[in-house]
Amino acid sequence: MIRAVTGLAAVCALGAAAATTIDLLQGADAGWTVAANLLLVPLTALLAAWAWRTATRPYAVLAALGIVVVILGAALGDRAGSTSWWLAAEAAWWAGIAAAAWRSRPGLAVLAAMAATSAFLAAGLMIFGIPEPVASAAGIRVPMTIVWATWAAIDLVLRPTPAGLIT
Amino acid sequence: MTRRREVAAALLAGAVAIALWVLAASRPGLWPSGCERDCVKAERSPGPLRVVQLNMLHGFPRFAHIDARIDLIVDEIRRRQADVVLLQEVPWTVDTGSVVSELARRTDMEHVFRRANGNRRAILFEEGDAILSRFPMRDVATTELPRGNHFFQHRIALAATLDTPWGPIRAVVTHLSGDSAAVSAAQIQALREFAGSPGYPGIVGGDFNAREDSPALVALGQDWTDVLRAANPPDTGGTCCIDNLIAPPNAELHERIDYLWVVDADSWRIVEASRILVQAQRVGAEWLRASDHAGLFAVIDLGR
Repeated sequence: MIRAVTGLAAVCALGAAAATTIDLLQGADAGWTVAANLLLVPLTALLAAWAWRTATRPYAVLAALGIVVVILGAALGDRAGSTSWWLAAEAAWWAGIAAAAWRSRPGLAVLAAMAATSAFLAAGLMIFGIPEPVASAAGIRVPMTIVWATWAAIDLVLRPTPAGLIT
Repeated sequence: MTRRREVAAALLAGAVAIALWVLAASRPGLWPSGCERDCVKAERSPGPLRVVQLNMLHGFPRFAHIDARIDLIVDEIRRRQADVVLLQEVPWTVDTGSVVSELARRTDMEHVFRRANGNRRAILFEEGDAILSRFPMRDVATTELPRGNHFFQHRIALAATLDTPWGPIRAVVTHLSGDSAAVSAAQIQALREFAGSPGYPGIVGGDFNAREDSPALVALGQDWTDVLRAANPPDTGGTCCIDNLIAPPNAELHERIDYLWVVDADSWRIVEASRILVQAQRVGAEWLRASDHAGLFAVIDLGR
């Protein structure tokens, strides 16, 4: 059962990474943004459930925020990457994942921390209205999402046991 | 895997993400986007084919006066009752969104667009070539032209077949780099092969970044018809470039580097052709130019 659930989440996460890659390379069709966010729902739900059991409450709440973040990301579509409050929420979610995963999954934690930093940077650039070309840095979070989702999928496949993600 | 190695691997993966960002920061789009047909219901005004060509200046990174300049371009397209508009440097920015979509919406035209440079997801900016058409479009095609001397700079051509009352017309738009005579020649040769011979007439417009006495353009002029030169009277004045967009009128455009060509044009007659948007226009209390380039306008009788 655990393997089936984590396997599904892993496949969806890989699908999200693929959709985000196409979105990064093409960009003109918001459908890829929507698809990528929706495909992250199983992964965020799984990570939220795991964090709820293993992490302290503030981090667990932040990890659970991911479900809301990806659903809102799908709803915002094309505008998500330039919406400051959504970027801030995404940064908070990733920060929660980084904190919750640090002890048992350090690789996922490090990438989540890097992704959180990139999203926090993007939120700051939007909030303060920093002009181009500096504002270009807001886009780093997109490839970070690709790498993080791919890593998370592989991590789920390699360590789906009770000692791992779901305790 | 030890904890230390896992952290190191994750840091390496993060570095890969940053490398991916750099590589994706300025790439042509994977495929054209837009709405080729059945998106608008507007009627065209009767008369011969009316074509506008313009490098509209994206203005990265400051995007100075972009909203007001879009207004000027929309006004010009409406005033000319253009059937086909060939555009270069059409931007997407966080503030404007897709400018080609806005132009198409405000002028009731179908549109296709392909990014040439930048990347809206990676750096929140992109620019590319676009075709607006009063007629339905089909057989949209695009190609990446030979690279110039800049790593982040790419050149493309975009084409579509327009189903007009006079039969099909192939429309091609491009923006060449003109880094050197060799690069210019290679890009023009690739453009000629891309435009090809579809078996029906074609119009090709673009910023060629090359003077008309350059060898590549002289050779091109032997096969394609330079519309503004062939017009009666001809208009071969400068089309580029004015740095100060808010300078009062009378600023001089020195170089002729933007062109409109007709291909396989045996039965065509150029009714009129001239530069447009040559001077700054009054916008509120200030003067403003639509672009640092002049546009081109042609009325063409297809004779069928």
